[in-house]
Amino acid sequence: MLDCLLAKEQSAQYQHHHRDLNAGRTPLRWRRKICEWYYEFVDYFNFDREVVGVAMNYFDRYISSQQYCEYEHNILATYQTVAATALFLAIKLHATSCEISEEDISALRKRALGKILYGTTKPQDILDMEMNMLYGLDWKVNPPTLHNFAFMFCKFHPLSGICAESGSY
Amino acid sequence: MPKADRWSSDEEEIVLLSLLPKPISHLDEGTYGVVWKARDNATQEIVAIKQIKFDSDMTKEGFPISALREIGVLLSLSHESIVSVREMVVGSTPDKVFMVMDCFEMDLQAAMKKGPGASTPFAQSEVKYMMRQILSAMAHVTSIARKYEHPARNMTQMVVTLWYRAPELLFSESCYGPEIDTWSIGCIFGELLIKEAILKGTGELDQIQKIFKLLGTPTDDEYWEQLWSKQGSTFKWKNNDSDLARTFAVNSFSATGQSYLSPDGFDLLSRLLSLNPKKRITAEDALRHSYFSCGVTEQVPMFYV
Repeated sequence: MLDCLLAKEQSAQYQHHHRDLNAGRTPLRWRRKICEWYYEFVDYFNFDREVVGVAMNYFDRYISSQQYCEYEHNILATYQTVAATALFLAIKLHATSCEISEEDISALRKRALGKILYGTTKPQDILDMEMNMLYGLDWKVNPPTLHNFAFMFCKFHPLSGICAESGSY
Repeated sequence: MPKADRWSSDEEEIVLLSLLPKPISHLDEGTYGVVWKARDNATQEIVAIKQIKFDSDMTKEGFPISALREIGVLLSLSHESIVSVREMVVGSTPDKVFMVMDCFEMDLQAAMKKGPGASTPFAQSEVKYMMRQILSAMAHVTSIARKYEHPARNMTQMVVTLWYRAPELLFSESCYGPEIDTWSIGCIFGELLIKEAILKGTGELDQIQKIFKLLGTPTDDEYWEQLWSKQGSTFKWKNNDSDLARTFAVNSFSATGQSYLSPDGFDLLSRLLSLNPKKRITAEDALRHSYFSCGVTEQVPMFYV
Protein backbone atom coordinates (compact mmCIF):
# COMPACT_ATOMS: atom_id res chain seq x y z
CA MET A 1 0.00 0.00 0.00
CA LEU A 2 2.77 2.39 0.90
CA ASP A 3 4.51 1.41 -2.32
CA CYS A 4 1.32 2.31 -4.15
CA LEU A 5 1.28 5.77 -2.58
CA LEU A 6 4.94 6.26 -3.42
CA ALA A 7 4.45 5.14 -7.01
CA LYS A 8 1.53 7.51 -7.33
CA GLU A 9 3.50 10.41 -5.87
CA GLN A 10 6.30 9.76 -8.33
CA SER A 11 3.97 9.49 -11.34
CA ALA A 12 4.13 12.33 -13.86
CA GLN A 13 0.68 13.76 -13.15
CA TYR A 14 1.24 14.11 -9.44
CA GLN A 15 4.89 15.15 -9.43
CA HIS A 16 5.51 17.88 -11.96
CA HIS A 17 4.17 20.68 -9.77
CA HIS A 18 7.00 20.22 -7.26
CA ARG A 19 9.45 21.66 -9.78
CA ASP A 20 7.24 24.70 -10.30
CA LEU A 21 6.84 25.21 -6.59
CA ASN A 22 10.59 25.21 -6.20
CA ALA A 23 10.92 27.59 -9.11
CA GLY A 24 8.60 30.01 -7.27
CA ARG A 25 5.67 29.94 -9.69
CA THR A 26 3.29 30.99 -6.89
CA PRO A 27 4.53 33.75 -4.60
CA LEU A 28 4.95 32.14 -1.20
CA ARG A 29 3.00 34.83 0.64
CA TRP A 30 -0.04 34.13 -1.58
CA ARG A 31 0.28 30.42 -1.08
CA ARG A 32 0.47 30.83 2.68
CA LYS A 33 -2.64 33.03 2.71
CA ILE A 34 -4.56 30.52 0.62
CA CYS A 35 -3.51 27.68 2.89
CA GLU A 36 -4.57 29.57 6.01
CA TRP A 37 -7.93 30.40 4.45
CA TYR A 38 -8.39 26.71 3.59
CA TYR A 39 -7.75 25.65 7.19
CA GLU A 40 -10.10 28.29 8.53
CA PHE A 41 -12.87 27.21 6.14
CA VAL A 42 -12.41 23.47 6.69
CA ASP A 43 -12.29 23.85 10.49
CA TYR A 44 -15.43 25.97 10.45
CA PHE A 45 -17.34 23.11 8.79
CA ASN A 46 -15.61 20.51 10.96
CA PHE A 47 -14.33 18.55 7.95
CA ASP A 48 -11.20 16.43 8.31
CA ARG A 49 -8.14 18.56 7.57
CA GLU A 50 -7.01 16.15 4.86
CA VAL A 51 -9.17 18.17 2.49
CA VAL A 52 -6.68 21.07 2.80
CA GLY A 53 -3.83 18.87 1.57
CA VAL A 54 -5.92 17.78 -1.38
CA ALA A 55 -7.01 21.33 -2.24
CA MET A 56 -3.40 22.59 -2.09
CA ASN A 57 -2.39 19.72 -4.34
CA TYR A 58 -5.05 20.69 -6.91
CA PHE A 59 -4.06 24.35 -6.63
CA ASP A 60 -0.33 23.75 -7.12
CA ARG A 61 -0.80 21.28 -9.95
CA TYR A 62 -3.27 23.49 -11.78
CA ILE A 63 -1.14 26.65 -11.43
CA SER A 64 1.89 24.74 -12.68
CA SER A 65 -0.05 23.72 -15.80
CA GLN A 66 -0.87 27.37 -16.62
CA GLN A 67 1.21 30.25 -17.91
CA TYR A 68 0.35 32.76 -15.21
CA CYS A 69 2.71 35.60 -14.32
CA GLU A 70 2.79 37.50 -11.02
CA TYR A 71 2.59 40.89 -12.77
CA GLU A 72 -0.30 39.98 -15.06
CA HIS A 73 -3.41 42.16 -15.03
CA ASN A 74 -6.07 40.73 -12.69
CA ILE A 75 -3.74 37.94 -11.56
CA LEU A 76 -4.91 38.24 -7.95
CA ALA A 77 -8.53 37.66 -8.99
CA THR A 78 -7.44 34.68 -11.09
CA TYR A 79 -5.52 33.15 -8.18
CA GLN A 80 -8.52 33.73 -5.94
CA THR A 81 -10.79 31.89 -8.39
CA VAL A 82 -8.29 29.03 -8.76
CA ALA A 83 -7.92 28.75 -4.97
CA ALA A 84 -11.67 28.78 -4.36
CA THR A 85 -12.25 26.23 -7.13
CA ALA A 86 -9.55 23.90 -5.80
CA LEU A 87 -11.25 23.93 -2.39
CA PHE A 88 -14.68 23.53 -4.03
CA LEU A 89 -13.49 20.41 -5.84
CA ALA A 90 -11.60 18.99 -2.86
CA ILE A 91 -14.65 19.35 -0.60
CA LYS A 92 -16.82 17.62 -3.19
CA LEU A 93 -14.58 14.59 -3.34
CA HIS A 94 -12.73 14.39 -0.06
CA ALA A 95 -14.70 16.22 2.63
CA THR A 96 -15.35 13.69 5.36
CA SER A 97 -15.35 13.68 9.10
CA CYS A 98 -14.61 10.95 11.60
CA GLU A 99 -17.34 12.28 13.87
CA ILE A 100 -20.16 12.90 11.39
CA SER A 101 -22.29 10.37 9.49
CA GLU A 102 -22.28 10.31 5.69
CA GLU A 103 -25.86 11.68 5.56
CA ASP A 104 -24.94 14.66 7.71
CA ILE A 105 -21.72 15.17 5.80
CA SER A 106 -23.73 15.36 2.60
CA ALA A 107 -25.85 18.24 3.94
CA LEU A 108 -22.77 19.97 5.36
CA ARG A 109 -20.96 19.55 2.07
CA LYS A 110 -23.83 21.24 0.23
CA ARG A 111 -23.67 24.19 2.60
CA ALA A 112 -19.91 24.48 2.21
CA LEU A 113 -20.09 24.32 -1.59
CA GLY A 114 -22.81 26.98 -1.61
CA LYS A 115 -20.69 29.18 0.64
CA ILE A 116 -17.75 28.99 -1.78
CA LEU A 117 -19.92 29.40 -4.85
CA TYR A 118 -21.78 32.46 -3.61
CA GLY A 119 -19.25 33.85 -1.20
CA THR A 120 -15.95 34.66 -2.81
CA THR A 121 -16.27 35.36 -6.50
CA LYS A 122 -18.89 35.02 -9.27
CA PRO A 123 -20.51 31.53 -9.16
CA GLN A 124 -20.14 31.08 -12.92
CA ASP A 125 -16.40 31.82 -12.69
CA ILE A 126 -16.00 28.91 -10.26
CA LEU A 127 -18.10 26.57 -12.40
CA ASP A 128 -16.10 27.48 -15.52
CA MET A 129 -12.82 27.13 -13.63
CA GLU A 130 -13.93 23.74 -12.29
CA MET A 131 -14.07 22.27 -15.80
CA ASN A 132 -10.73 23.90 -16.73
CA MET A 133 -9.19 22.56 -13.56
CA LEU A 134 -10.45 19.02 -14.11
CA TYR A 135 -8.80 19.02 -17.52
CA GLY A 136 -5.70 20.76 -16.17
CA LEU A 137 -5.39 18.00 -13.57
CA ASP A 138 -6.02 15.38 -16.24
CA TRP A 139 -8.94 14.23 -14.08
CA LYS A 140 -6.48 12.84 -11.53
CA VAL A 141 -8.28 13.94 -8.40
CA ASN A 142 -7.11 11.45 -5.78
CA PRO A 143 -3.61 12.61 -4.91
CA PRO A 144 -1.51 10.91 -2.24
CA THR A 145 -1.41 13.12 0.85
CA LEU A 146 0.46 13.21 4.13
CA HIS A 147 -2.76 12.22 5.88
CA ASN A 148 -3.11 9.19 3.59
CA PHE A 149 0.38 8.18 4.62
CA ALA A 150 -0.26 8.81 8.32
CA PHE A 151 -3.50 6.79 8.36
CA MET A 152 -1.82 3.87 6.64
CA PHE A 153 1.22 4.03 8.86
CA CYS A 154 -1.07 3.94 11.93
CA LYS A 155 -2.89 0.97 10.48
CA PHE A 156 0.29 -1.06 10.22
CA HIS A 157 1.63 0.05 13.58
CA PRO A 158 1.41 -2.63 16.30
CA LEU A 159 -0.51 -0.21 18.53
CA SER A 160 -3.02 0.76 15.84
CA GLY A 161 -5.89 -1.09 17.58
CA ILE A 162 -5.39 0.85 20.81
CA CYS A 163 -5.10 4.15 18.90
CA ALA A 164 -8.33 3.46 17.00
CA GLU A 165 -10.21 2.67 20.21
CA SER A 166 -8.97 5.74 22.02
CA GLY A 167 -9.43 7.94 18.94
CA SER A 168 -5.87 9.24 19.19
CA TYR A 169 -3.38 8.95 16.40
CA MET B 1 -9.11 20.73 -23.33
CA PRO B 2 -10.23 18.15 -25.94
CA LYS B 3 -13.36 19.40 -27.69
CA ALA B 4 -16.14 17.47 -29.37
CA ASP B 5 -17.71 18.46 -32.67
CA ARG B 6 -21.41 18.84 -33.18
CA TRP B 7 -23.07 16.15 -35.24
CA SER B 8 -26.66 15.21 -36.00
CA SER B 9 -28.22 11.85 -36.53
CA ASP B 10 -31.68 11.14 -37.93
CA GLU B 11 -33.04 10.13 -34.57
CA GLU B 12 -31.67 12.65 -32.17
CA GLU B 13 -29.13 15.42 -32.06
CA ILE B 14 -26.09 14.39 -30.09
CA VAL B 15 -22.58 15.61 -29.59
CA LEU B 16 -19.74 13.37 -30.65
CA LEU B 17 -16.00 13.51 -30.57
CA SER B 18 -14.26 14.99 -33.54
CA LEU B 19 -12.43 11.71 -33.94
CA LEU B 20 -15.65 9.76 -33.95
CA PRO B 21 -17.49 10.27 -37.26
CA LYS B 22 -20.73 8.60 -36.37
CA PRO B 23 -22.47 6.71 -33.65
CA ILE B 24 -23.06 3.07 -34.39
CA SER B 25 -25.77 2.42 -31.91
CA HIS B 26 -27.27 3.43 -28.62
CA LEU B 27 -26.11 0.88 -26.06
CA ASP B 28 -27.69 1.65 -22.74
CA GLU B 29 -28.83 4.33 -20.37
CA GLY B 30 -27.59 4.07 -16.81
CA THR B 31 -28.11 6.14 -13.70
CA TYR B 32 -25.30 8.50 -14.57
CA GLY B 33 -25.56 8.81 -18.35
CA VAL B 34 -26.34 7.56 -21.83
CA VAL B 35 -23.86 5.19 -23.47
CA TRP B 36 -23.19 5.16 -27.21
CA LYS B 37 -21.15 2.80 -29.31
CA ALA B 38 -18.87 4.52 -31.83
CA ARG B 39 -15.82 4.03 -33.98
CA ASP B 40 -12.50 5.77 -33.31
CA ASN B 41 -11.52 7.36 -36.62
CA ALA B 42 -7.82 7.26 -35.88
CA THR B 43 -7.52 3.62 -34.84
CA GLN B 44 -10.77 2.16 -36.25
CA GLU B 45 -11.39 0.70 -32.81
CA ILE B 46 -14.91 0.45 -31.46
CA VAL B 47 -15.33 2.45 -28.28
CA ALA B 48 -18.16 3.27 -25.92
CA ILE B 49 -18.85 6.92 -25.16
CA LYS B 50 -20.83 7.82 -22.13
CA GLN B 51 -22.46 11.20 -21.84
CA ILE B 52 -22.47 12.35 -18.25
CA LYS B 53 -25.93 13.33 -17.06
CA PHE B 54 -26.20 16.79 -15.56
CA ASP B 55 -29.21 17.57 -13.46
CA SER B 56 -30.70 20.94 -12.65
CA ASP B 57 -28.44 21.20 -9.58
CA MET B 58 -25.51 21.93 -11.89
CA THR B 59 -25.75 25.61 -10.93
CA LYS B 60 -25.53 24.74 -7.23
CA GLU B 61 -22.86 22.08 -7.16
CA GLY B 62 -21.12 22.20 -10.53
CA PHE B 63 -19.84 18.95 -12.01
CA PRO B 64 -21.88 16.05 -10.51
CA ILE B 65 -20.12 14.44 -7.54
CA SER B 66 -21.27 10.94 -8.50
CA ALA B 67 -19.75 11.28 -11.99
CA LEU B 68 -16.55 12.79 -10.60
CA ARG B 69 -16.15 9.84 -8.24
CA GLU B 70 -16.82 7.34 -10.99
CA ILE B 71 -14.27 8.97 -13.30
CA GLY B 72 -11.71 9.23 -10.47
CA VAL B 73 -12.06 5.56 -9.59
CA LEU B 74 -12.09 4.29 -13.18
CA LEU B 75 -8.99 6.34 -13.98
CA SER B 76 -7.09 4.84 -11.04
CA LEU B 77 -7.97 1.28 -12.01
CA SER B 78 -6.00 -0.66 -14.53
CA HIS B 79 -7.10 -4.26 -14.94
CA GLU B 80 -7.92 -6.47 -17.89
CA SER B 81 -11.35 -7.28 -16.51
CA ILE B 82 -12.32 -3.71 -15.72
CA VAL B 83 -13.53 -1.26 -18.32
CA SER B 84 -10.98 1.55 -18.69
CA VAL B 85 -11.57 5.23 -19.39
CA ARG B 86 -9.41 6.28 -22.34
CA GLU B 87 -10.03 10.00 -22.13
CA MET B 88 -12.50 12.69 -21.20
CA VAL B 89 -13.83 15.17 -23.76
CA VAL B 90 -16.27 18.07 -23.71
CA GLY B 91 -18.94 19.22 -26.15
CA SER B 92 -20.03 22.67 -27.21
CA THR B 93 -21.34 23.56 -23.76
CA PRO B 94 -19.87 22.74 -20.34
CA ASP B 95 -22.73 20.40 -19.53
CA LYS B 96 -21.77 18.09 -22.41
CA VAL B 97 -19.01 15.88 -21.06
CA PHE B 98 -18.14 12.43 -22.36
CA MET B 99 -16.12 9.51 -21.10
CA VAL B 100 -14.47 7.52 -23.88
CA MET B 101 -14.26 3.93 -22.71
CA ASP B 102 -13.41 0.47 -23.96
CA CYS B 103 -16.44 -1.09 -25.56
CA PHE B 104 -17.68 -4.57 -24.72
CA GLU B 105 -20.25 -6.38 -26.81
CA MET B 106 -22.50 -7.17 -23.90
CA ASP B 107 -22.65 -7.19 -20.15
CA LEU B 108 -22.95 -10.40 -18.14
CA GLN B 109 -26.72 -10.18 -17.87
CA ALA B 110 -27.09 -9.83 -21.65
CA ALA B 111 -24.57 -12.66 -22.16
CA MET B 112 -26.69 -14.98 -20.05
CA LYS B 113 -29.83 -14.15 -22.01
CA LYS B 114 -28.61 -13.56 -25.55
CA GLY B 115 -25.49 -15.64 -25.95
CA PRO B 116 -25.48 -18.86 -27.98
CA GLY B 117 -27.01 -21.64 -25.98
CA ALA B 118 -28.90 -19.18 -23.81
CA SER B 119 -31.34 -21.87 -22.75
CA THR B 120 -28.65 -24.30 -21.56
CA PRO B 121 -26.58 -23.85 -18.42
CA PHE B 122 -22.97 -22.70 -18.57
CA ALA B 123 -20.32 -25.42 -18.41
CA GLN B 124 -18.49 -25.60 -15.10
CA SER B 125 -15.29 -24.55 -16.87
CA GLU B 126 -17.04 -21.42 -18.19
CA VAL B 127 -18.43 -20.48 -14.79
CA LYS B 128 -14.97 -20.90 -13.34
CA TYR B 129 -13.48 -18.61 -16.01
CA MET B 130 -16.05 -15.87 -15.34
CA MET B 131 -15.72 -16.17 -11.58
CA ARG B 132 -11.95 -15.79 -11.79
CA GLN B 133 -12.37 -12.64 -13.90
CA ILE B 134 -14.87 -11.13 -11.48
CA LEU B 135 -12.85 -12.01 -8.38
CA SER B 136 -9.53 -10.80 -9.76
CA ALA B 137 -11.17 -7.51 -10.81
CA MET B 138 -12.64 -7.21 -7.31
CA ALA B 139 -9.28 -7.96 -5.69
CA HIS B 140 -7.75 -5.16 -7.77
CA VAL B 141 -10.51 -2.71 -6.83
CA THR B 142 -10.07 -3.61 -3.15
CA SER B 143 -6.32 -2.99 -3.29
CA ILE B 144 -6.90 0.44 -4.86
CA ALA B 145 -9.78 1.31 -2.53
CA ARG B 146 -7.64 0.55 0.53
CA LYS B 147 -5.69 3.69 -0.24
CA TYR B 148 -8.77 5.79 0.49
CA GLU B 149 -9.78 3.85 3.56
CA HIS B 150 -10.54 5.96 6.53
CA PRO B 151 -10.88 4.78 10.12
CA ALA B 152 -14.34 4.60 11.69
CA ARG B 153 -16.20 6.31 8.87
CA ASN B 154 -19.98 6.00 8.87
CA MET B 155 -21.44 5.46 5.43
CA THR B 156 -24.85 5.28 3.81
CA GLN B 157 -26.60 1.91 3.53
CA MET B 158 -28.32 2.85 0.29
CA VAL B 159 -25.73 1.19 -1.90
CA VAL B 160 -25.80 -1.79 -4.25
CA THR B 161 -28.82 -2.98 -6.26
CA LEU B 162 -31.32 -4.61 -3.85
CA TRP B 163 -30.97 -8.19 -5.15
CA TYR B 164 -27.21 -8.08 -4.60
CA ARG B 165 -27.22 -6.10 -1.35
CA ALA B 166 -25.51 -7.75 1.63
CA PRO B 167 -27.78 -8.59 4.61
CA GLU B 168 -25.89 -6.33 7.03
CA LEU B 169 -26.66 -3.33 4.79
CA LEU B 170 -30.34 -4.22 4.93
CA PHE B 171 -30.01 -3.98 8.72
CA SER B 172 -28.48 -0.50 8.46
CA GLU B 173 -24.86 -1.42 9.13
CA SER B 174 -22.99 1.81 8.45
CA CYS B 175 -19.39 0.64 8.91
CA TYR B 176 -18.62 -1.73 6.08
CA GLY B 177 -15.89 -2.67 3.65
CA PRO B 178 -15.16 -4.90 0.66
CA GLU B 179 -17.15 -7.77 2.19
CA ILE B 180 -20.36 -6.19 0.84
CA ASP B 181 -18.92 -6.69 -2.66
CA THR B 182 -17.95 -10.30 -2.07
CA TRP B 183 -21.56 -10.95 -1.03
CA SER B 184 -22.67 -9.52 -4.40
CA ILE B 185 -20.14 -11.78 -6.13
CA GLY B 186 -21.67 -14.74 -4.29
CA CYS B 187 -25.09 -13.72 -5.66
CA ILE B 188 -23.58 -13.53 -9.15
CA PHE B 189 -21.95 -16.94 -8.71
CA GLY B 190 -25.35 -18.42 -7.91
CA GLU B 191 -26.87 -16.57 -10.84
CA LEU B 192 -24.25 -17.96 -13.22
CA LEU B 193 -25.12 -21.47 -12.04
CA ILE B 194 -28.86 -21.21 -12.60
CA LYS B 195 -28.94 -18.29 -15.08
CA GLU B 196 -31.35 -16.42 -12.89
CA ALA B 197 -30.97 -14.02 -9.98
CA ILE B 198 -31.04 -16.04 -6.77
CA LEU B 199 -32.49 -13.45 -4.38
CA LYS B 200 -35.18 -11.46 -6.13
CA GLY B 201 -36.70 -9.46 -3.29
CA THR B 202 -39.51 -7.03 -4.00
CA GLY B 203 -38.50 -4.71 -1.18
CA GLU B 204 -35.99 -4.56 1.67
CA LEU B 205 -38.07 -6.68 4.04
CA ASP B 206 -38.80 -9.26 1.37
CA GLN B 207 -35.10 -9.29 0.47
CA ILE B 208 -34.17 -10.09 4.09
CA GLN B 209 -36.76 -12.88 4.18
CA LYS B 210 -35.44 -14.36 0.94
CA ILE B 211 -31.86 -14.25 2.24
CA PHE B 212 -32.78 -15.96 5.53
CA LYS B 213 -34.88 -18.52 3.66
CA LEU B 214 -31.93 -19.45 1.44
CA LEU B 215 -29.15 -19.27 4.00
CA GLY B 216 -30.96 -19.80 7.27
CA THR B 217 -31.57 -17.27 10.03
CA PRO B 218 -28.37 -16.32 11.85
CA THR B 219 -28.76 -17.80 15.31
CA ASP B 220 -25.99 -17.91 17.92
CA ASP B 221 -23.96 -15.59 15.74
CA GLU B 222 -21.99 -13.01 17.68
CA TYR B 223 -21.94 -10.48 14.83
CA TRP B 224 -25.71 -10.52 14.34
CA GLU B 225 -26.46 -10.48 18.05
CA GLN B 226 -24.27 -7.40 18.41
CA LEU B 227 -25.79 -5.66 15.39
CA TRP B 228 -29.34 -6.32 16.51
CA SER B 229 -28.69 -5.34 20.11
CA LYS B 230 -26.90 -2.14 18.95
CA GLN B 231 -30.06 -1.23 17.05
CA GLY B 232 -32.28 -2.15 20.00
CA SER B 233 -34.18 -4.43 17.67
CA THR B 234 -37.00 -6.42 19.24
CA PHE B 235 -38.11 -7.92 15.94
CA LYS B 236 -37.95 -11.72 15.90
CA TRP B 237 -37.13 -13.52 12.68
CA LYS B 238 -38.61 -16.90 11.93
CA ASN B 239 -35.93 -19.54 12.35
CA ASN B 240 -35.03 -21.11 9.03
CA ASP B 241 -32.43 -23.73 8.23
CA SER B 242 -30.15 -23.13 5.29
CA ASP B 243 -31.65 -24.12 1.96
CA LEU B 244 -28.45 -23.55 0.04
CA ALA B 245 -27.53 -27.23 -0.39
CA ARG B 246 -30.99 -28.04 -1.73
CA THR B 247 -30.98 -25.04 -4.08
CA PHE B 248 -27.54 -25.76 -5.49
CA ALA B 249 -27.07 -29.47 -6.05
CA VAL B 250 -23.49 -30.75 -5.82
CA ASN B 251 -22.10 -33.31 -8.26
CA SER B 252 -25.41 -33.44 -10.06
CA PHE B 253 -26.07 -33.76 -13.78
CA SER B 254 -29.82 -33.54 -13.30
CA ALA B 255 -31.98 -31.74 -15.80
CA THR B 256 -32.71 -28.89 -13.40
CA GLY B 257 -31.00 -26.40 -15.64
CA GLN B 258 -28.17 -25.83 -13.19
CA SER B 259 -24.49 -25.82 -14.16
CA TYR B 260 -22.43 -28.65 -12.72
CA LEU B 261 -21.15 -27.69 -9.26
CA SER B 262 -18.26 -29.45 -7.59
CA PRO B 263 -18.02 -29.71 -3.76
CA ASP B 264 -15.23 -27.10 -3.96
CA GLY B 265 -17.54 -24.82 -5.93
CA PHE B 266 -20.28 -25.23 -3.33
CA ASP B 267 -17.82 -24.47 -0.54
CA LEU B 268 -16.73 -21.26 -2.28
CA LEU B 269 -20.35 -20.25 -2.88
CA SER B 270 -21.24 -20.73 0.79
CA ARG B 271 -18.16 -18.78 1.91
CA LEU B 272 -19.03 -15.88 -0.40
CA LEU B 273 -22.59 -15.94 0.91
CA SER B 274 -21.58 -16.07 4.55
CA LEU B 275 -24.16 -14.16 6.60
CA ASN B 276 -21.43 -13.01 8.96
CA PRO B 277 -19.41 -10.40 7.01
CA LYS B 278 -16.40 -10.95 9.24
CA LYS B 279 -16.30 -14.61 8.17
CA ARG B 280 -17.04 -13.89 4.50
CA ILE B 281 -14.17 -14.87 2.22
CA THR B 282 -12.20 -12.01 0.62
CA ALA B 283 -11.69 -11.77 -3.13
CA GLU B 284 -7.96 -12.45 -2.69
CA ASP B 285 -8.60 -15.61 -0.64
CA ALA B 286 -11.35 -16.73 -3.00
CA LEU B 287 -8.83 -16.68 -5.86
CA ARG B 288 -6.66 -19.06 -3.84
CA HIS B 289 -9.61 -21.40 -3.15
CA SER B 290 -9.29 -25.01 -4.32
CA TYR B 291 -12.26 -24.42 -6.66
CA PHE B 292 -9.80 -22.73 -9.01
CA SER B 293 -6.81 -25.02 -8.50
CA CYS B 294 -8.61 -28.40 -8.63
CA GLY B 295 -11.03 -30.00 -11.07
CA VAL B 296 -11.73 -28.95 -14.65
CA THR B 297 -9.65 -26.30 -16.36
CA GLU B 298 -11.21 -22.91 -17.00
CA GLN B 299 -12.55 -22.22 -20.46
CA VAL B 300 -13.57 -19.04 -22.26
CA PRO B 301 -17.40 -18.96 -22.40
CA MET B 302 -19.01 -19.67 -25.76
CA PHE B 303 -20.66 -16.26 -26.02
CA TYR B 304 -17.23 -14.69 -25.80
CA VAL B 305 -15.57 -16.70 -28.59
